[in-house]
Amino acid sequence: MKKESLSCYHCGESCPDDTIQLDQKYFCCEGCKTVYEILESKGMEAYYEIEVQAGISARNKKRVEDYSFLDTAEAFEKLIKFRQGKQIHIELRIPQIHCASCVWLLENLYKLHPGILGAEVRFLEKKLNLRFDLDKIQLSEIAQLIANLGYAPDINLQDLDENTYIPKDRSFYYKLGVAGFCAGNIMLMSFPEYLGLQDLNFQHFFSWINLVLAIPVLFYSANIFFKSAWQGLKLGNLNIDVPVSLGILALFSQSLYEILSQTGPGYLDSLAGLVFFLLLGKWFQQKSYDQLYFDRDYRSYFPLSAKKIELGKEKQVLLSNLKKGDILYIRNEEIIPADALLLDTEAYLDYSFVSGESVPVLLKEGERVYAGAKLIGKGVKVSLLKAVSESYLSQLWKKYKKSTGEKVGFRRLTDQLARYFTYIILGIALLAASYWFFQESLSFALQVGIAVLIVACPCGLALSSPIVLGNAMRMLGRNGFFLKDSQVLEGIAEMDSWIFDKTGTLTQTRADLSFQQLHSLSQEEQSLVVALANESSHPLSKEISKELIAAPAAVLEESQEHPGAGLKGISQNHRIAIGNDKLLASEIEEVLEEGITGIAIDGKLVAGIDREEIVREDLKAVLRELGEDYELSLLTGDTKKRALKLLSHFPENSKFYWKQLPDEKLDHVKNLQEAGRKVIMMGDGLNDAGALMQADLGIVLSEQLESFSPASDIILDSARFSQLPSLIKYAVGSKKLLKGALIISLIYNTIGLAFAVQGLLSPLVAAILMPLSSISVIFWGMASTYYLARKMGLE
Amino acid sequence: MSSIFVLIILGFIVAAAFLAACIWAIRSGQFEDAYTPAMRILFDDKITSTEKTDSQHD
Repeated sequence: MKKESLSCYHCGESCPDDTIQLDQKYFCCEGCKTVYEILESKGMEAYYEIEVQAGISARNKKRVEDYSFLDTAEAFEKLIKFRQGKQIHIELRIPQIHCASCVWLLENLYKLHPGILGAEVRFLEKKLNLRFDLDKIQLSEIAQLIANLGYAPDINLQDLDENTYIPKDRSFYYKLGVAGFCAGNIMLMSFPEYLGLQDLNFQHFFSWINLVLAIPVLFYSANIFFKSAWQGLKLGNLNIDVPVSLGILALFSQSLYEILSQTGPGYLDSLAGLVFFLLLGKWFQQKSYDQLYFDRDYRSYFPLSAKKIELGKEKQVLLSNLKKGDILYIRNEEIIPADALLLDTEAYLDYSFVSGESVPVLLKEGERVYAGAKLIGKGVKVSLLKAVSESYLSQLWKKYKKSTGEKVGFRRLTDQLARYFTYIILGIALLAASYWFFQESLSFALQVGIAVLIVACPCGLALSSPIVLGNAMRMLGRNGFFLKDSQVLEGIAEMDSWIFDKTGTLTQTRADLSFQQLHSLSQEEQSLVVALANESSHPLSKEISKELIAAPAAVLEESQEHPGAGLKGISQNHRIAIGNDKLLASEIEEVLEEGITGIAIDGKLVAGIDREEIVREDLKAVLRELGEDYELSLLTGDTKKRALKLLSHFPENSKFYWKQLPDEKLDHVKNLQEAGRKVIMMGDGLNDAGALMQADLGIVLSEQLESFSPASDIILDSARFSQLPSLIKYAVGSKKLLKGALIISLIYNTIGLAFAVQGLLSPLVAAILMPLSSISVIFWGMASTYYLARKMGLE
Repeated sequence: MSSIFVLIILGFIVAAAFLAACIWAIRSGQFEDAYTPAMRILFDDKITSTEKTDSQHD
């Protein structure tokens, strides 16, 4: 059978050969086969029927995690959300959930273990709600079980530090439901009035029903606005909810007066409809992305526990319990949780998290390793110099937190307007009332004053922002551009400078090394190369082994490593060499370019690995387009040489800064801000976190939306990078649309005011004008945001 | 004329029933995840189909 045609029955990746098989099904690795076996033995093959090859590849799975620490009372109590005797409810984040099969498997976990009582998946949030019996299964066993199936739960330090489980607040929905019910019935009861009902008895009867119905609207549904207005007033700023509350109260008191004095039907239909529309708008805006975390900090990158070596024994210990002087065993790809000393002879450490420098560093015994470094290669022992909370990285983070505190928000356009609006309306009401007081009577003056407040109630104004910005955010989200809140969207229009991080932002994180074969390597040659590459733990060697994964390693007779240069070896009478220009100079005739790693067999160059970073698609076009509106600069922790490689992609007047430490990045942003600039910082991770938080807007470019998002205001799906200019233009444009909506609602308010100041505002006029302004704003908001998205070429 | 009162009472009962249904739906958490239930529909069939094939083996 041909190799190419084989794909793993479990995960769909191509199989290196046909040796791993079961029931006529082929697997890419033992891990995948094991999962299949488990599922098959329990009669759960439906997993493969719902979605073909739904599994999560086990080939690249990192070592088996030890979950025993989850059973310690300390961790356990923080993680569970509810307990009833021995029955425990827990909510786990599982980023791997990606299809219907996942949902099915996780919800049928009870078939795999009798201790699991039930499970429910929330697909968009990628969460699993689980009930289990503590007598029959431990939490660590559950974590182990689902991790074995490929769904390792994402539990991080942040979850343990603070109990993050907050029950959902459903009161908003109740309020919406009650407002809808009352508004519908009040309008029904008001219908006879619209049609000119003459019978007074009926009029009073209907009015009384309306009054009863309006009470829950006023005291229950509308109290969101009262609360917000009150909070605003206490802090001394007039937000949009102040005039809204004023309007609602004016509507109700006027109606109450009219109904009790039997002088008219009041404006309760307007009141209930208004509250309902406003709540609808709020709901629209709130309905954004539960599944994204915008406020993760360094703790989400750290493991939860580490292997501590105590009296010659390994023990899994919670990170918070680690002390200075503890000896830890760190495995390949694991992160060093605190500053430490290296106890083994040497180790490669990847500091890209902390500094942005993409080349792993070789450290020797006794040298200091900073927290946040990732080990690459063989496991090593380290001795802690500090506790986790005192380490460089944690300190750095705390410093940022302190220096920035709460980010000073942008003033919302509607709140800015509300400030003037409130004063102007109160002024007009006062003027009109005093005019009529002298012209007519006190009661008429009061009536006019209240009428002004009623008709000026800025329902359209209050609706504009949620409808326009809410819909714009939804459109942007659909295109992989997720904003933290609508305030951020309004803020984009004010920005004028743009700072980019390099590694992982402008260059791709995945394809740092590109492997090029001069001729297609034969199976034998591949085996030779793999044999030698396996000898070393250098990341480049790993890359080679990974590239040639299909070839079985040949037997190596001799090998020697030249630190910092490469490897040489002999296998099956062939001389093999992998290394840099200096090492290969004695082997081959060609002169290798600096920075390129060559592979030679018997004195002939057969392949090269270029360390060239791969820039994002359309980088040049994106930067040119952004360069028209923003001053661009590049800020990188990497070397000058690599920074300058991107020079040709930037517009001419862009600025370049290299070898920047996280602190310097932060200061750079600060300096720009002090010079009066509004700065967007775009980065990808922890090393930029300080700068991202300091910047007026922090954009994080993310490969995996659900698992990687440090503190930021915006998350951009990296697959959408080429669309960035359109997305930004759309965001800026949506603020203009908001202005349009505000103008429309102000026009209605002006018309209404014209009636009100003359003392001509009848319930009928109010009943037509008020909903009409709301509906116009809703229509404008929906239509214009769709149209703009179409124009910008967004989905 | 009194028919109007009956109708209004009836109308309220119907509307209140809808409000009660709405509150019940919110309370049971139906508005918290509107996506996954649509996927769950898919596999009700799948499970029965495997069960059927299982019984054929017997």
